[in-house]
Amino acid sequence: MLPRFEYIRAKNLDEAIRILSTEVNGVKVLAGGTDIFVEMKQGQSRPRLLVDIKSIPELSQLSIGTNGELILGAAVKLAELEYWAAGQKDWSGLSITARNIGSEQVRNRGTVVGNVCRASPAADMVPMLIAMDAQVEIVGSEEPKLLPVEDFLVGPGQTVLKTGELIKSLKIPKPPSNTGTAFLKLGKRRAMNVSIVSAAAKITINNANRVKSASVVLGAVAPTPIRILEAETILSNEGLTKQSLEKISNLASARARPLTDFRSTQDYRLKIVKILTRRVLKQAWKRATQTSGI
Amino acid sequence: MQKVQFEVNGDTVRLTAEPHWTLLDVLRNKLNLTGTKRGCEMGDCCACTIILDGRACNSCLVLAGELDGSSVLTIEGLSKDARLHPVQRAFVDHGAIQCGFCTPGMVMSTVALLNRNPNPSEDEVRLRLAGNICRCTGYTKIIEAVMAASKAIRGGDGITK
Repeated sequence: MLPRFEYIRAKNLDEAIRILSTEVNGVKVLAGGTDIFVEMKQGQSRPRLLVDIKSIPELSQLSIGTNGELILGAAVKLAELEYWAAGQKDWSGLSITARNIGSEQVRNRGTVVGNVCRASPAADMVPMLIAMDAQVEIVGSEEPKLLPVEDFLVGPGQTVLKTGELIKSLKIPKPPSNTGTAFLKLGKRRAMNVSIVSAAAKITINNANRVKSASVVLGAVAPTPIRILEAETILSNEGLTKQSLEKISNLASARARPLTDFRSTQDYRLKIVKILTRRVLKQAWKRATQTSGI
Repeated sequence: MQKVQFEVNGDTVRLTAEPHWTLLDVLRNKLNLTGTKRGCEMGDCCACTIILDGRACNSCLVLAGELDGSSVLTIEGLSKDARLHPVQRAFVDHGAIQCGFCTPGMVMSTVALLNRNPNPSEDEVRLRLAGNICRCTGYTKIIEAVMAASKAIRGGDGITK
């Protein structure tokens, strides 16, 4: 059973912002509810008031912006992204990532932005969004601002959002041509699975099959996802070889700070970090070379 | 309290709901539609799966207050004129039911899947049903039933939808 609370369905963004800035105590944004209702049932969260943002028309929009970027309104569901992006050259990595979250039922309610706002170290959308240089659009008390997802997340359950602010959308730049993305996670079950380790990668190559840019991001092994910045230099200098992958996966494992908890141990997670780093880069590389010339 | 109006199995439902009532609470306790099962109530087991505006959802994670203007289909709404829905028929014929507790959720997930894609691969079936936990069957019979239902819905053995 859910504990008692008050509920308001906001009709527009201004109304939502007004409520969020005036009803300061115990007010939370409600989007898909797939996280917050579970937390409330478990007693981990006790909001007094939930502001439902699903009826705000512009928040349900999934669209392509003027520079080819993908814009996901805060109420866009994981399943909408999954089905829309499936098989699309530029965005298929997002589809693959979304498909790995929760279950069909959860994806049909849960939102992409909600997965980011929850700020779980194991949130599966986040490594891919960071690898793809996604930004959040924050509206509310101050001027609207854009912030990289990386900088939006502060720690487990913590973001830079201030009272009266909410995310309006996510903006994901269109990847350059000859780009491949990949996402891998390890968990215990195929559905409803909180990652033991997750990894996302994005590789762009030039016409000579050399790496122009590369990004690899790991989830569930630190308070916020970690990006292995050196991957780009190593891969552009050395190409994708056994040695270069070894170097990057060693860096990833050195950089990771996983915990031992009921899901896994620190030792095991560090081993898996290396394996997933190698595999995810190989997959992204393969997809980048397959799309080259298109 | 909030006034909401929505459809359940084609019938209009008007009720005054407490904000903390879930769709599952309303179906079972107010509408006496107890075919939808109360399992973990955390979204983990999918025994409470219903179809909300065409999509499979956990009724334990939807508020009654969120439903205004929506359309809900439950297991009770599937059979027509005392004839089982092809998915129900296939579950019975293929021994996909043992204790039966997961069955309404499994069936609703399957109906949502086949409405979206009448001809799924076995991989897709496994993906779309992955949330539904069954503690009896070992899933093999369920997958067989879903594949058979897909064939039946497409007219493979003369049963039409």
